[in-house]
Amino acid sequence: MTDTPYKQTFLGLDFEAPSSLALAHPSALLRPPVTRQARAQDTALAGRRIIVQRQMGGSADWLTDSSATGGGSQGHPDSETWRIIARARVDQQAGTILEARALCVPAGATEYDNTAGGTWDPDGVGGQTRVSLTWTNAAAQTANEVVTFTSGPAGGDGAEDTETGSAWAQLEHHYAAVVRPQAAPNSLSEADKWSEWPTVDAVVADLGGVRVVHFVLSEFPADHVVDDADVTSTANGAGTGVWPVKIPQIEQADGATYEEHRFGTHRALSTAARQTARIGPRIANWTSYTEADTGVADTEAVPVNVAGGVTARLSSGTNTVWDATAAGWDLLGTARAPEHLTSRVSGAGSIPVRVRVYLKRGATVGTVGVFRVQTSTRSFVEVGCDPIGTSYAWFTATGWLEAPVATDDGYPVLQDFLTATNGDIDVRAWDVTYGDFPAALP
Amino acid sequence: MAREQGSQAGAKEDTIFLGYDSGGLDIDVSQNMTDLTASGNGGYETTSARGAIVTARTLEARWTATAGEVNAGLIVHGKQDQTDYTYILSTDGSGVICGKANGNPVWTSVAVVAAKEYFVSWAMRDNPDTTGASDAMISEYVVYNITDTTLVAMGQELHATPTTDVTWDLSIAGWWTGGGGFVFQPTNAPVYARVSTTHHPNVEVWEDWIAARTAYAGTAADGIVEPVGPRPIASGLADSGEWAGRQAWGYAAATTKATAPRSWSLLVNEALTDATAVKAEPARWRMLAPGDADYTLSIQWLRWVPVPAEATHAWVRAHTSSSGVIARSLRVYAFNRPPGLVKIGAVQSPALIAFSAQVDWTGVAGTVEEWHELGYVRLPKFTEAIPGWTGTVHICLAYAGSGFTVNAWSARPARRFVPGGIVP
Repeated sequence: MTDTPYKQTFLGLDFEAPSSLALAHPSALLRPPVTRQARAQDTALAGRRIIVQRQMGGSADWLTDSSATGGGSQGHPDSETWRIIARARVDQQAGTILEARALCVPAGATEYDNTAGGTWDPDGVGGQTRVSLTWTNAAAQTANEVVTFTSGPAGGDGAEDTETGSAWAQLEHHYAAVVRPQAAPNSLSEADKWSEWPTVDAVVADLGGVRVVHFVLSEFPADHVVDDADVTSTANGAGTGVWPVKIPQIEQADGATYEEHRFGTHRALSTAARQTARIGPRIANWTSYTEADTGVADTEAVPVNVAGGVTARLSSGTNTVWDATAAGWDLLGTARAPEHLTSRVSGAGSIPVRVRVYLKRGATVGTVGVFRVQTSTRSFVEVGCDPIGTSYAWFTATGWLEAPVATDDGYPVLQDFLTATNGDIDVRAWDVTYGDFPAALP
Repeated sequence: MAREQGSQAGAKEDTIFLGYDSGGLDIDVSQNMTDLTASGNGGYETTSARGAIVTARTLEARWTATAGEVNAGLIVHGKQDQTDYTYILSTDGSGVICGKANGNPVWTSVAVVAAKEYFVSWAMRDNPDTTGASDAMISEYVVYNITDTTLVAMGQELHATPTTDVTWDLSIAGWWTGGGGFVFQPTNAPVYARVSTTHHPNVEVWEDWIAARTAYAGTAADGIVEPVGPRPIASGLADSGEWAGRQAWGYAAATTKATAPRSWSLLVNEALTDATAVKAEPARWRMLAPGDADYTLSIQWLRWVPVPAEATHAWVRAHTSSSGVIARSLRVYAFNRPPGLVKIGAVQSPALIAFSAQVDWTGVAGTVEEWHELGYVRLPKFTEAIPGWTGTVHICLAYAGSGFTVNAWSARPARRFVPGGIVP
């Protein structure tokens, strides 16, 4: 067989699931079903997981408000300095690309420092929001991309209309499709680097007087490219086209020889096992940013500070131990029992997760932290943060969290706690995603 | 008790030993049905290959300690001369419950045991973030005081992969030392002991042995509204070919069914750091809900989100802080486009489609924090061919009444079916 090092599979958003009538007893599962059966599970990839989203944080006005410019102190952002709003680190699902959407109202005014005149003078009306992305794969290769949306001005001076409901009539919808490492579509060898669960760092930032109601970066099934020799990939690595029809193969790829071994019992079962371990929801991500808490000269969201010797909630609420009646986050309500062993538990569910937190310490050397996400009295995951430096960094841990057993099950509530010891800690973001598999980046 | 295989309580497909004091701890009621040699209150098995587990495993036992009881061996796999062991689940020389491997403690509970009944579990799994030999495994433990129904300790530790030897012995309620007899026996016989070959998450441990959560009973929400059209047979299953047999059929059905909605993620999932009370937002952000002037939409809660394929509804819940006896209502709207948007770019907006769900409450004189289930809201996906809009919905909260804050809310995608007429 000719060496064919790469296989590209184009995915569809609305891939039809197989009819279960075909599986009715006593019909047998017969060829060519291995491909189609495995790829039928691609329906899962149409989940369109949201990688990162940001909103106003509950504030009752914009950072860039409608006040006049030209005062003696800075009252509006300048037009050149990006301010970081949100950060996320996620293992991107195999075979997907990203798409971005931003919902804005017209931007406000910016200022510059007229040092000669001693005032902060108008410097135009408008703004931008962007997401900067860095992908890292298991081989520690990286790639980048930036998507920027430009928002129009509200009017001559950037002040919002005061008429009731005027913001609704002025909504701007921004959209960018096909957000992926730039070189990926141009060569199969490049696309192969990013098709299998790369870790993506997303940094959302604003510029000038932009007023963002909601921003979403989400996954979209596109295509999957895999090295022919790699049998340890998800279903999309199973390839398409003509399959050998005579003999079921049960062995793995034969070293450097690019023969077609990606089918048969072994392949199908390994695919199922791998998908079970990896394919799941994006659960939650938080940023410390709010419109009201951020200053016009800030270059990043004001962190939540937790003093030494204190345990505190980060996002919302004041409870220091898990409380079913306190505010918190949600997990997806699907009927999941412990993975791989769906017969072992009934009436309760838990899912494997990866938890990440982005923080740094204050001045005290030897400060350590424990970040905990807890969903019930009996289920939590802790991330030990030690040693902590004076620069922000991600810390991670895996574990299992109790999850709802159905869509309308309101039992578990995800609450976030940080315990700081010896010194204080600043926190800017945290992330919870399904799966406890090895990640390309911690 | 959660599901087991057959009729034996506690015997699961991954159980390699299960013994109950009521029937004799040496009697193995797992599917292995390989009894131990009875000794003391428990028993042992020499040259125990089944106990030599250094990958994923779970050890669980329940027993009544005496005050400060030291060296009470619950489950042990080790050498007869006591110079090495795969694991020891016991109290240590100070009377603290612990788990040890190869001469070193892996985890230790927080207090000396009292004259109480305890449940102990020790689950081990591979560490996906291992940086080397020293942190190749994660152990999770639970120590629960059954007498007082209190949690004593629960946590996890990173450690090296334990070493073992299939010639070492498995002991329950002690440690078989051959000529030295059965030592490290607890004063009281364990009620049960179980050894499993997989990692059991804490939820499973609690469900099995401590306390099951209140049974999920579903909600009163019904009214199945969205028809799911007949699905064509697209997979070629049942074509002639190389796969055959019920095993393959079973695998296909199970994995497809389980995988289908796996990656559905929450459409909205927020806890608001700076939550502001309703009616405090600027008037320019407000709009009366279409067709119902009693409700006010606020742009601060407007979300434009992609919807997973085949999702038809969202289950919405919200957390509020409210004060005062006031009639209140919180409603969630799902729109195909924002109300009030006449054009989308240069294109005339399509007709507005809106669905909603709501929750009503009154409150009390003091401040109350509580979760509300707004229930299912149907999702009108935008279907016009406008780039970036197809397959999205706009979700927004609306309020009636005053004196409350929305602190957190979420929208879970769901798929609901019409009864009858379904082509499976």
